[in-house]
Amino acid sequence: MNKFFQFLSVFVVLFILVLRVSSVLGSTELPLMNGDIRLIEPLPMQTQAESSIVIDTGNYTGPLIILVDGVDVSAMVKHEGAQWRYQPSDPFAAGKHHLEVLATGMASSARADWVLSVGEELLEGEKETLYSKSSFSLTGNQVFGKKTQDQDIAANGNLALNVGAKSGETEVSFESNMGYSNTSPTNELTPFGLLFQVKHDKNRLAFGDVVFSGTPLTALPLSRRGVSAEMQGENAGLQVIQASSRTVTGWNSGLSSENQIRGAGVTYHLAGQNDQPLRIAAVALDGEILSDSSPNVASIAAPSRGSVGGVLGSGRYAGIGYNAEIAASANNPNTLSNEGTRRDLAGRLQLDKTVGGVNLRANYQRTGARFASIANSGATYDREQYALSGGAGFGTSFLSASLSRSRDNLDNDPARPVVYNNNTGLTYSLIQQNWPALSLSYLYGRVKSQSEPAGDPETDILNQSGTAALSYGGEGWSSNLVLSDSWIADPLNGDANTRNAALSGSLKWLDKLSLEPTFSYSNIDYNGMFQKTTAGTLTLNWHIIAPLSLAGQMTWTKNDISDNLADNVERTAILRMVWDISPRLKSLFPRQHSGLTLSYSGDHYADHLDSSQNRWDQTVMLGIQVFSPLEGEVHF
Amino acid sequence: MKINQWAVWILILGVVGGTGCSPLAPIPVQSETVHFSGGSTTGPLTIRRVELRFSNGQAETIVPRNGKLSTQAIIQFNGNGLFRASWLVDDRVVEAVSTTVTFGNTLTVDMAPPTRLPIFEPGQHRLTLRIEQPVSSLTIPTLIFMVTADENSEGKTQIK
Repeated sequence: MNKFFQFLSVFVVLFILVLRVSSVLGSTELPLMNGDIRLIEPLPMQTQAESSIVIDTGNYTGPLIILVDGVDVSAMVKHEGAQWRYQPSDPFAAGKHHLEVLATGMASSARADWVLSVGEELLEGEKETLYSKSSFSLTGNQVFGKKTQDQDIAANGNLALNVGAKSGETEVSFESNMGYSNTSPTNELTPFGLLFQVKHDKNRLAFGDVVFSGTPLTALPLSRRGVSAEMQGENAGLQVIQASSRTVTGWNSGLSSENQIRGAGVTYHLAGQNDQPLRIAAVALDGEILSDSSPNVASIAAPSRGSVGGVLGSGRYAGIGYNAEIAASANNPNTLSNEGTRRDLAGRLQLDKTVGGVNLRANYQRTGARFASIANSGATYDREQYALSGGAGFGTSFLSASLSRSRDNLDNDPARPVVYNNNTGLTYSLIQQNWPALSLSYLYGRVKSQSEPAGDPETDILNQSGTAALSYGGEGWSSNLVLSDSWIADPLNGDANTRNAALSGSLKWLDKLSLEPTFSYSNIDYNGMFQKTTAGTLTLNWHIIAPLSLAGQMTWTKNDISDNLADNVERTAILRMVWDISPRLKSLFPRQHSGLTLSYSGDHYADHLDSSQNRWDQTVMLGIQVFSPLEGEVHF
Repeated sequence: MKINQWAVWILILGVVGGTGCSPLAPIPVQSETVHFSGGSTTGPLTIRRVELRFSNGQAETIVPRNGKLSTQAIIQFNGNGLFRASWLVDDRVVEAVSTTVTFGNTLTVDMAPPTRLPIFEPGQHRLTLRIEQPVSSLTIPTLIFMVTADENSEGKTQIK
């Protein structure tokens, strides 16, 4: 119990400290109290030229004199209950305005005054702004449950820091997050997210979690830890990046000597005829391609290094939209074995045109076998593909069709098969007012090898699938039903038939109760093995009465595989009741959002083949949660 | 007392179906959540690389209570065969995934739109993909998301 009281003491101290800090920092956005007279509108930092002024006097009903810049405007003030509204006939002029309120019949604090800044431009002598958009979140729980035993206290905290300074067109900002988790005796501090920026006009220098805008063949938006510089002119832009190739965590700089990506991208907009500009982008990247480990990657691939560059042009000419790119790469596919540099090219062309209401699109892409995209884990290589697609609407119906043909093993490597993949797809949609939206699709595909390595069998896989989706909704509710069936004929690895059904819905009632059920069923017949998976979830959010709410999620999963490979059922439930105590603390700590919580978590697993795997864990938690914005602005 | 789950589901569907529905409005159909791209095709299915990430491209994120959050798995593989997996949050299954891989080298699995991650409980949560088939020796990474104690307003999602 000593541990509990220690925890409780620390939590209470932290709680009060956070609330006091937040109250001080946040005071500029609150209704400003001046004795018993409060300025409700405008908030000092949100003042606009068209704003009205609203004064709240609590129980005091008058009389009241309001002076704006020394002029008595009381005759134009509307009195509504405890509030007094002044709407000027002309918008306030930009600049400083002095507001004075005289409550001549009030026993105390008969006078209050404020200085308002109107308009977006700061006043002479107030060109600099310091701001904070930070927040703090803290939860503490006493845990009860046989699984926890000694681990009976849990605390979580998160500090989201966002502070900065502005001076004219120049802005300096810093953003970071620090998560703290304590499930005694384990303490875990997880700092993540880091961004330091210096901005001037449209130019930016960023350090931390930067995003690089590549091209489809080089690196699509790449989010990594490092340094990025952007310069933006009227028609041209330049971005330079140096970053870690890994998705990093913690506060490591990302600028260590290994696993680096360096790159530059240039864009230029040519204002062509009919306002259809040509955009040219050139990107060059150099660095490690695949890392063998990082916080969100598991890989058996060896690290490799290389570089890639691409030139992209896009626009519209004579009614035809085009998007074309050529890229080249050089890489060492395994820096450990030093296999030597491999070079290759990639290119793609997309065209689209609307003819007689039919939208037509053509694609061609060829990516060499040795082509490597830096840090683009979804890259396609060793493939040539043609694709045609078109679609048109007919009243409430829409029909689209697609054809594609691709070939792998472009170098005719005798160690691998040369494989063709042909696909045809048809989709029909019917969207009619007051009727369910219907979508039907059919896909036919065939994967066939043209040649195989000596001794290897031929690949010839036939794949057909059909999907029907039905959506229906109204005010306060919606539902989706998706049914799919696919048949795969594969003489080499065995046939497969997969049937899936998924039903989901959402129900909201008077903004008090929302229920979101999902249900899915999957039946797989793969090479003589049968598997049935049934899963359901129910998510609820119920505002029972004003300060009391209940949230929860229940899941149910049944897994049954033939030949006694698996037969189990798992049920889980989380229920969480919150008593919002914010209103009771508002007078002391006006900025916080706080609640007392009672949570239940249950996990029941029944294995019908191996009862030693069975478990039934239940946990009850009694806790408190606090959220507090740490926001404010200071002009000087 | 054992609860009959079918009765619960029938009750839920009955409640949903029996609610007033005027005016009606069509809503979009469910989008595809599994995508493939090129590469080798023959041989049994084996997994070479698994990357999990949130929409910010990273392994961690912060989301307000009752906000919205989705995730994506990018899986590189060889061969073809049956792929089965489950999305787990704090060791609880929130969605089952099953598809037959016949062509390509990259499988992208998006969390299906109806799936709601349990983000009503403030604090730190762990999200991972449990790959059940094919069996792999890879240690699948775990993503971390922090749910703050502030209530999220409709349509206002703060994912950093």
